[in-house]
Amino acid sequence: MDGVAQQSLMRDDLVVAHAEVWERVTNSGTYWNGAQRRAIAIVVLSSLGDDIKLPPWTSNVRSEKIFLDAEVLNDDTIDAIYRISVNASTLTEDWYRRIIARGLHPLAFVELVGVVVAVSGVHGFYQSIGIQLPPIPDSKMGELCVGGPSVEAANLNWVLVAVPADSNAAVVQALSAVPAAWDLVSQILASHYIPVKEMGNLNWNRGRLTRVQMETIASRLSEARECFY
Amino acid sequence: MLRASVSDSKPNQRELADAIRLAVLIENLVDAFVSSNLSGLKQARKAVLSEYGWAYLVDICAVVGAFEMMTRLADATGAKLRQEQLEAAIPIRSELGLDKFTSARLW
Repeated sequence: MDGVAQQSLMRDDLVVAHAEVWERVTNSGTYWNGAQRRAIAIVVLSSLGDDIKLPPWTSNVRSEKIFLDAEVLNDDTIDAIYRISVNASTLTEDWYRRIIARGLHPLAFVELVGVVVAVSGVHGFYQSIGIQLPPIPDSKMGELCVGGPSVEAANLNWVLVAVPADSNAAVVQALSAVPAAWDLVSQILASHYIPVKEMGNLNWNRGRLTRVQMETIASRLSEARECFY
Repeated sequence: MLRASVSDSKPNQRELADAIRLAVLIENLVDAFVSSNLSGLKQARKAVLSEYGWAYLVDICAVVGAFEMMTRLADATGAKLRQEQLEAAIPIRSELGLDKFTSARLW
């Protein structure tokens, strides 16, 4: 069966979700415009497809890795995207504080993380199943969607979160300072794993994998990625 | 996230049997994927396809994608477990050596 035939057998909700994710990634967000968000996605995909991945203590910019279509991003941003994409389990609070001290707005970082992880999730699906990733569309012109909730420092995350901090689990509040970023991630969670509102329902499934089987995949991958959380 | 979502889980016998049956295939697929072992990944896909079919492979890879996303989300935002969750996980943390991960944020 070729890739096109396989794709035609894909669950409709996945096809729709991936198209919507690509659409949202290429539109203006809260702190990054459509061209910048598209460039973030391109750097993520280039990083994940990098045959010789750099160790976490190395700057990909200093190593002169070239990312096409990324000229709208500065070197620090490209470095951060590469590090989150390729070596996320090695990130530390010191690393985060340095990124912010070098000029990246704390909430722009939150939005950046949202785009990076969403693209990583879609890439992970296509890479693991062996079908070519749908191409990322061109970016759209548009105004930044300014505004958002009041934010504060949290104990459960190093990023700023919406008030009141620490009233939700750390991964749920992680992107709450930029609601559109969490919406993007929630959309992928709903189509790939479990809708957020069903997380507490341990019998929820799509009729094939049981919840236990889903958690087996999740725990094995999390352990292999050395994600303590 | 995993601990948060299954902390009260009491799987039934059918779920346990299914999980055990599929566990080796899942382990092979995830390990090949994470290590970028393309030939191993191809074999792992084939094994899932022959025993469970295309729809299962789609569902498995969808969860793989979800946790490619959520592991990065947790680590890029410095997500921590609450103290009570950390304490409840002491046995498994010790058994699996999880505290040695750079990503182990133990307060």
